[in-house]
Amino acid sequence: MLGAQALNAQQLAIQTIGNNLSNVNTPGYARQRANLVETDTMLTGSGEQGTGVSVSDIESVRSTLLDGLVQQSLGSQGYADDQASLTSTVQTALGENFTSTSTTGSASTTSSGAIQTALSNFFTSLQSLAASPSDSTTRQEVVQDATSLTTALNGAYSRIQQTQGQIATDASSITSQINQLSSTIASLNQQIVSVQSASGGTANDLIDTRSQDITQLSSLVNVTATTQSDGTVTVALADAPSVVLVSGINGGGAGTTQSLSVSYAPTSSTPLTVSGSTSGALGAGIPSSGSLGSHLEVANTLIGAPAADGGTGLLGQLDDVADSLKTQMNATNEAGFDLNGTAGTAFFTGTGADNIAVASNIAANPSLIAAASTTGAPLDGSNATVMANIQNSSSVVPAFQDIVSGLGSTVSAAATNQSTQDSVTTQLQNQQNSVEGVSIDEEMTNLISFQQAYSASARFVTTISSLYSTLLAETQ
Amino acid sequence: MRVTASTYTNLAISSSQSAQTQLAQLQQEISTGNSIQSPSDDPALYSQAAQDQSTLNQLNAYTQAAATATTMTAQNNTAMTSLHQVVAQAGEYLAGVSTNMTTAQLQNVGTELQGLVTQLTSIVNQKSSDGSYLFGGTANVAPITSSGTYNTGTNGNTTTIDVQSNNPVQVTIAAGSSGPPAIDGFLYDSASGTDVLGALQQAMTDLNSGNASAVLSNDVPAVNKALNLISSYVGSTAASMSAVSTATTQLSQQTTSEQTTINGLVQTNLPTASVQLQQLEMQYQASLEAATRVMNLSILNYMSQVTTPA
Repeated sequence: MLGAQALNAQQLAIQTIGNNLSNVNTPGYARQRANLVETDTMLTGSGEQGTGVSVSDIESVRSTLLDGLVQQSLGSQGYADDQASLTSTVQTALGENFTSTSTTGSASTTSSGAIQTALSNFFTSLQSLAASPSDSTTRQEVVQDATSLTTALNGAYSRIQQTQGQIATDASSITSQINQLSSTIASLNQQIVSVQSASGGTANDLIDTRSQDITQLSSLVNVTATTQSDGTVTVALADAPSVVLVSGINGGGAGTTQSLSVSYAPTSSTPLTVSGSTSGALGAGIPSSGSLGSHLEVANTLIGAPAADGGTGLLGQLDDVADSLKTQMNATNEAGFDLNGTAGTAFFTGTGADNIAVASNIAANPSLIAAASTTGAPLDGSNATVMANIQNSSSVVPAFQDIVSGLGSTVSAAATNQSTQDSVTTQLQNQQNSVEGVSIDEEMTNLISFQQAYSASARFVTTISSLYSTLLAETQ
Repeated sequence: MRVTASTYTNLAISSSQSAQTQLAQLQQEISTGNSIQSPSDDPALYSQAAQDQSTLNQLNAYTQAAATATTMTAQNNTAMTSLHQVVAQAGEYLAGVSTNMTTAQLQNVGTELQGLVTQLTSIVNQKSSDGSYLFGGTANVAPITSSGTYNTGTNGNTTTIDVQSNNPVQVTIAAGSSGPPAIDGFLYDSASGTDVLGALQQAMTDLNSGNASAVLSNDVPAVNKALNLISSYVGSTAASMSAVSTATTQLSQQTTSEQTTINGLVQTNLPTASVQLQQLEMQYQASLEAATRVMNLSILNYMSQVTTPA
């Protein structure tokens, strides 16, 4: 009996090692340990006598502290990763990059982006118009450069809006993942309670799976997971604790108490919002972390709404630049006189960067550009000089450069934050792995130890068997 | 700290990705020749470079304007020099007049003078390459009509071009007109009472009528005043040319300087980048080798060595 018990115990320990080795690369797996204990002693005439060994339980080696820290860190990591990726995408959409330096002889040229180049060309052609106000070719160039500028502004605006739309689609996909994970966690809650109440032990593997799901959920949205006395976990949004995603085994479906969804309204002052199926619309900026938080931040704050809808993000700022350019150019053109001596009309039309365009009458007839300050003076280009000097207005070229530089700083800061957060997460995961991870060498060493113990126990059984055989042979 | 199997793997992946990111960045810098591609590569540097780029663009625009100004001021100076020769020639003809000359002789001089007036009209009514009149002010009309009188449709407005920031240069000059309304220019000056065309035409009238004394007492002084007026314009147009030339030289220097500044900001320092590339390559190789060696180490190797002979 003692030998058989020992064989069983060593075998269970070896099986546990086998399970650990099998799961050495399984994400979220925490190494398990067969805890061997002496069985109850037996009182004999010679005193207490041991009765062997048994496995008290198979313990999953977990650190609640490190698990919680890693979950929090992954929430921040998910935010930082997506923030770096999304802001970089927005920067690409704006399209203001330094192009390659081309070298011709000793001279080289650089270009600082489509809009900045278009702005520069437009004001340069206006300067040329000031010198040659009656030259039809110069007037045509002004119209062409103005059209290039408006096309560049329209294009950048459109690309950024499309990026915002894609972010909204992506956010919707993230909420689907969140809902799926919430449902899975609730289902695992049910299974864990069921297994633990039936076996009286701990459902280590199910807890590992649930832990992995919570970790995955944390990278999507910042949550708090609280373990209840019955072994279930309650999952709620960290920013809004009243928004409970999973509560025990109760709730609709497999235990998910509510699902999240996003709504996208490009012309709203807050274009992207998150709602809970029972909590309704969450406050602005909630959730603030995880991938979903990053999507909200980029869509609502970095890109924002058009200026007409109260937006102060990238779209609003582009609208402001376009509006300032339009207002100043129109006022100047209307104050001057065209080649025919007629008072000038609006140069640009449109309500913002998305639809600013050269006025159709001027596009069709460049002689209507009011280059002169006085009527009947076709060779007067002084009003064109005033137009060219609009480039020095702080609300046009410098304002646009501020937009580009500001976006660059945001992208750079996001990349730095990602790097820092990556370092923090890696260190925490290494610490978690140090406690919970499987070491092949350690397991193999233990395997040899348990293998030897098993062999010894088997030899013990053989010896006892031999003793009994000898005894039986002598008594026959 | 307890080390597990994934510790080595995670470390190897992390260091590999880090090295590859840096290698890719260096590769891009070296292949494009630019140390920054996007604003986020170095926001402060990008901001500075973008501002310098704007300044360079503006300098290029001023350089274009200066080239136009050079052409226009040169045209003006050439025209004034030619006009000066014409009026000087007229002055010489009139200086040769004496009361002893016969009416026929005086009329011959008048004919010579008529030829000079035709030349003057041709110079004053010349057009630029785009077909606009050079000296009609901003009205784009011929300053002298086909009947040889001042065109009252002209104006005295002149054009200036900014060849540098806050450095406007006058690139057109107006012929002017005795009016009405009187307009000051290189043919008429109300302050000194000089009328170039009028002086020559009056001289022709006096010559053709054989009035030598009127020529000597009135026309010669009037033409001399005209010559003085034209001379002042030869001087002022030469000064404008000189101002444009100075500005062009300064613009060229500023453009070179600005371009050098931008290149210094955004161009890759190839020697430094090459050294960095070499260091990174070595670092990456060392990292890979360390990972390969450490990850191959396991008790399994020794167990197989022990169990194989058995």
